[in-house]
Amino acid sequence: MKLLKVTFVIIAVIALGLWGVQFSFAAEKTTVKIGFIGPLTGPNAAFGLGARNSADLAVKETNRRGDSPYRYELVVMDDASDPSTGVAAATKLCTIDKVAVATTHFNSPVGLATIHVFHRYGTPQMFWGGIHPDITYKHNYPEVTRICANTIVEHNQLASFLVEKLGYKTWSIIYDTTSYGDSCHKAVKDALAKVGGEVLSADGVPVGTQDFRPILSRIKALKPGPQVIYFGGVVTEAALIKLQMTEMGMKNLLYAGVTGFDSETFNKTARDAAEGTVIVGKKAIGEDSPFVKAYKAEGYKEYYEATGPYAYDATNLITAVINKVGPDDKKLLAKTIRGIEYHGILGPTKFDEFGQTLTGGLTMKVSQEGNWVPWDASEYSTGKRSLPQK
Amino acid sequence: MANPSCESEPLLGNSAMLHFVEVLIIALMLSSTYILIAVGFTLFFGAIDIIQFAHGDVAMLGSFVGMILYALGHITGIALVLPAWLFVIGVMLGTLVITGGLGVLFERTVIKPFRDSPMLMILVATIALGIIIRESVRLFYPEGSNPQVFPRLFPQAGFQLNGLYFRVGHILIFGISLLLILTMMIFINRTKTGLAIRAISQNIEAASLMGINPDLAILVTFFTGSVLAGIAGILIGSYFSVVKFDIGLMGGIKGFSAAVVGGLGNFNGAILGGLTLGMVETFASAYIPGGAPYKDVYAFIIVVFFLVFRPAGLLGEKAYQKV
Repeated sequence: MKLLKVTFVIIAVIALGLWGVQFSFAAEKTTVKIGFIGPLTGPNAAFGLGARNSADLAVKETNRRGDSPYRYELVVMDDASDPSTGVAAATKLCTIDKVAVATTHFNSPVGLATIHVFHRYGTPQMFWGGIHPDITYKHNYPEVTRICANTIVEHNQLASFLVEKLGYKTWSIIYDTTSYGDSCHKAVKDALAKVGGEVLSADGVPVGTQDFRPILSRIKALKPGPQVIYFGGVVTEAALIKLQMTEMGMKNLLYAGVTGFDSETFNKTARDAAEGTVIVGKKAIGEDSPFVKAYKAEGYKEYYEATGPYAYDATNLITAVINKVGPDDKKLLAKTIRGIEYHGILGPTKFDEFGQTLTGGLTMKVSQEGNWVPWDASEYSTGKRSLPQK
Repeated sequence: MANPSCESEPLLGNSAMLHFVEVLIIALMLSSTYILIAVGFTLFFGAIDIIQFAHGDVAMLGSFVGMILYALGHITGIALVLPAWLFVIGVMLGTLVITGGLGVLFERTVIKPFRDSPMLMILVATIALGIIIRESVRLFYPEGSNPQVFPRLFPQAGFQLNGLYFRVGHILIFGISLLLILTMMIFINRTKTGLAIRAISQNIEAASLMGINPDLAILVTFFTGSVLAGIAGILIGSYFSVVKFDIGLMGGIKGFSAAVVGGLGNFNGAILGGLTLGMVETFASAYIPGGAPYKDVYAFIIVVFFLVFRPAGLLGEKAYQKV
């Protein structure tokens, strides 16, 4: 009898052990790699780091929730805002890391270079930044989608707001001579033509220019002079132009731009000269939103920047699709991504036949006391402060 | 590219004059930064026939040393104890001594070992030195790859005169540059040490036979050249508000080109060369429609022009030996 009891206990222990082993096998989910590329160093590092952290947050949250059949791993690469570095990073993600999907790039020139790499390897690529229209419209690679608005959408909104709503009709344009700056130049001209704005001058400048004073001096000498100086470019040059405008006594001109300088770096660099700059910015996410709370709770060193919510939604969208169709069939993945209707922190996201989101939200913002403030919440909209010439 | 600015009204009368004067002032500011770097190139070439290609990076170091000293001053509380102007002078003096010292260190470690070697060796060694300096700043300075906001050392106040806007800070920057260049001229042409430098530049053996210690003279040359570059770094940082680890590369090439245009080895030539380059760049940006993206192209066309048709430069005495 005693022997029987002992045998029973032994069998029970073995059975439990086996069950445990089986259980742990079940818990060992397949790891799926998701690629991330952005500028983690260089002039746009703030945007890249904010996006990287947000993508990381999305992956961590998905893994923690545990409702996915896979465990996700984010493979992070730096493109340093440089196309050749970007291509090397993209190639590594596609060949060595063999990521299922990648979410990429702040800079359009980098994106315009890497779309070919992702296309060659058939790896789906979703842009969280990079707003050049050609990224989606020129080749229409089935692998490419973009979760943010493109330059055409951004400039239409900017022109309509400043020309139609606020009555700033005459503009001088400065743009950087990268493909991004060029696309801004073209988009702003087209957008102004649509709403009856007038372009008085247009000057290209190489990225890295520090002295904008000769161009500003020429704009100052224009008769009649413009009401707006618009810059199509990114943050460092944008801040320098505003600083030098102020130094040259051009405070009576409105300074405007698009998402390229929707970064706190602009306010930090231009300091008190930043006041009153108007941009069409990335969608403003409230400080009390679950995303911001989770981001802060995770203790990231860098601010999430305007790009963070886009990278967050892109990563969540990607994991949702992989959960649904699995990581292996790249063609199916690309097709499912384009067909999805996803609801994230940016609101609903849906792609057109070019993989361009139709819904990527934008917010008009104004620089007020060193911060980008949504126009509707600013003292400029209430009339407490006033823009130049108002 | 169609340039809509052509379609606007031509510049007329007073406004055109005002524009011209404003551009002239902008050009003078830019020129003075080139001159401060060009003088170093010309000093080194004049003294021991070498081209120190890392000289632009020494100027960049000046900006960063200035920023570090400024930050240290604030961390330690010294900035709060001293009056603002005294603190700024302290930061500048500190930067000047440190960059001067670094210039001497670079000469002793990278240039002196090759003093009797072919010129090409020094060329390669100093190019390598430049890369080491740039990359060290990029890697070791916090967030070194990113543009750094330069502290406001000079007053931000401004005033308007006949429709022109002036900044007290900019006038100070220009004044300091001018003062440094003048001091340098007096130092080279009127002092005994200056005489020693000029002597070794003519004939190092004969000079040492006359009792000049060439090592010491070369050391002084590198110290003064690097001091000027360091100050140039601070002035450039203050004028442009932003500095980056790689500004020395273009700054160095421009400074070197200015020295070549003026005549390598000739002090007045460096001034003239710096002025030429700064003027061409600024006026091209301001007056040629759509010219801004090509401002460096215009500047370097001038350089190529001089190399081809007048290799000795505007005021150069030494005929160039093609290597």
